[in-house]
Amino acid sequence: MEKLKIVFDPFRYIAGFKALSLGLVFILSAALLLNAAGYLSDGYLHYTVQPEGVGFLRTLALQLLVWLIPALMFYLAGLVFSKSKIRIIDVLGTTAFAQLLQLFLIVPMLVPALSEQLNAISEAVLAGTMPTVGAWIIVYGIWAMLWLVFFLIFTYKAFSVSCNMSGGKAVAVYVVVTLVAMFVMPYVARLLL
Amino acid sequence: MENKSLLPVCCPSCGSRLQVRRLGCPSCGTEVMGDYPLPALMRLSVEEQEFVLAFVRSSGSLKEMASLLKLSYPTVRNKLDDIIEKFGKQD
Repeated sequence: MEKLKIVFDPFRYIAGFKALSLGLVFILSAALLLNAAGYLSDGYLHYTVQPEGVGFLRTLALQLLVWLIPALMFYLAGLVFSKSKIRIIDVLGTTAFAQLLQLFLIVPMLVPALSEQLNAISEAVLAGTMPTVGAWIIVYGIWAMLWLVFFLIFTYKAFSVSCNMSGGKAVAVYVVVTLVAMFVMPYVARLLL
Repeated sequence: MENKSLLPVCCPSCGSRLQVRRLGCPSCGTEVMGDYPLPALMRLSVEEQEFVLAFVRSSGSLKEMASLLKLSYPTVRNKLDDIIEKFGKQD
């Protein structure tokens, strides 16, 4: 039971500098894996084929921004709405730790068969033709959907614990921050690419 | 908490806060009757009372409490803030 609690609510036990250190390792790993697979984050939880000449450093910078932009917005929202005296190290730490789940979205991209099908879709979209959805894409779609939901729950818990917010207000802040991050990230990515 | 036979703080029938009506001396048997409201700390749940005790024992250091209870700092701070809020409602 205690182990289940750790899996589903790790921020009850870990936050601050320890979580931030581990989180940065997860972000670095995500950037390394994305670079190895030939992809990068061009939006919030949106990956695309790495353009020519874009190396590891820019992939890492984007991966850091995918974490940092919502984390800072969560902190600002916490300063305004939380009844507690929140610490930025907790917000940065818990949200960085939550990036662990992105690894589950990225690792399958290293599978050559899936990578080929993903590239074929990108090429078809660029050419304006109808993309063919292969079996690997369907399996990955289901897998990614599950981890995406888990990721969103995880980041919500990270925000909720670090800012001591819960209920309707917390959900509303979380949704707004996520939507703003989704809107802002593509522009940031364009500036970097 | 040594005495784990829980002191009920809420009425099991209607849920209202209970008050002390009768006190007894275990050595001479003297009994005092009255209508005494429970002190603020006694109105907390046993878990919350244990938390307050741990807080006092660690000289009010949330960091120390977090390491003692093996919980994260914000979790401990949130629990404390919940108790503070509860005291605020009692006033």
